[in-house]
Amino acid sequence: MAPVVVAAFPKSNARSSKSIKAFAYCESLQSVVVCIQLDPILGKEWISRRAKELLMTSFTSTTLTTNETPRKDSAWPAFQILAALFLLLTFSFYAGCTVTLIGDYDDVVDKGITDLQETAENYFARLKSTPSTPYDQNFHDGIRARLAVLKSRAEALPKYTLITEQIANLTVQFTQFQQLDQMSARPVPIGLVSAAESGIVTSIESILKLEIALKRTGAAPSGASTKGQ
Amino acid sequence: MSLDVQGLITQMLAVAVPLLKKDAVDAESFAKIEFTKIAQTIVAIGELVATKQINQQQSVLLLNMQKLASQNVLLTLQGLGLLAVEAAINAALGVVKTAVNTAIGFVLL
Repeated sequence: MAPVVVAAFPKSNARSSKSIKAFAYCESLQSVVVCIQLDPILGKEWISRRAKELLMTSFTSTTLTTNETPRKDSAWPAFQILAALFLLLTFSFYAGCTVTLIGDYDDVVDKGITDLQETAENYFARLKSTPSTPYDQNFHDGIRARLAVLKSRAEALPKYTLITEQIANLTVQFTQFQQLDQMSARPVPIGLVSAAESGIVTSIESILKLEIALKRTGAAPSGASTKGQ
Repeated sequence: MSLDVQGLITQMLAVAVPLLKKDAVDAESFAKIEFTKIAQTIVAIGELVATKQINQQQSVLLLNMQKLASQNVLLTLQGLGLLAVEAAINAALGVVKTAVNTAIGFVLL
């Protein structure tokens, strides 16, 4: 893309103020293109911000450095070309870098939640098969520690607010289950354990459902049908 | 270059709408399963209270756990919705990209 823009405004023509303006726009657009190419390294949010800054800087600087009074008749075609190029590059920015509204799949969160479920299910199974099983502080401490680690992990990941909130809710659920476990006389009513288990499992399944969906295996192929208009 | 706006819109919708519909059906089936489970558990809690197997304090804690489970289901639906919109936008932009390139005659986008 960059060579196309450069070819449209060669340096030899950059003498009149109109050409200077055009060349400055061209440079800013080139910078945007470079930003787009850096996308995999730097991330889309930085790119987007940097691209806007570059464009704004260029627009401002050209306005300050050119003293020529705008002439509608001669300046308009150049402006049209620039506007068209800008629009096309904006399109390319969005088309080249796929839009991402929510974070990517994270293996650590997936495995962490799955392991947590296994531990919890073992405890639920023990309580149901042997309702006289004594309250186990180690189980609750272990669960709390693992959830804290997972929450920190989720908080550190970009666009992970939904899963972070889900882990926070799950933490509260386990705290409530701990209270139930602690206050319940033995043998524990199996119905109580089942109800608590159901709530926790629903939350775990919800987190896993979203986490697995983040793999985006069902994502639409870009450029599906194509013949131009 | 000849780009027909109406044609582009038709192409973009043709790709985006089926994706949104498919994802809506998937999300609905997930919600149905999970909310059924939550409803059944709430009924079970009522029965535990009625048969005095659990006290009021325990029932409140159990119900709160179900509320949080419902919140987590809704958060998942929100996430699935974002993913569906994201896929639709990317598919629609993919169509624009190809159409523009074809109309111009070289790979610009």
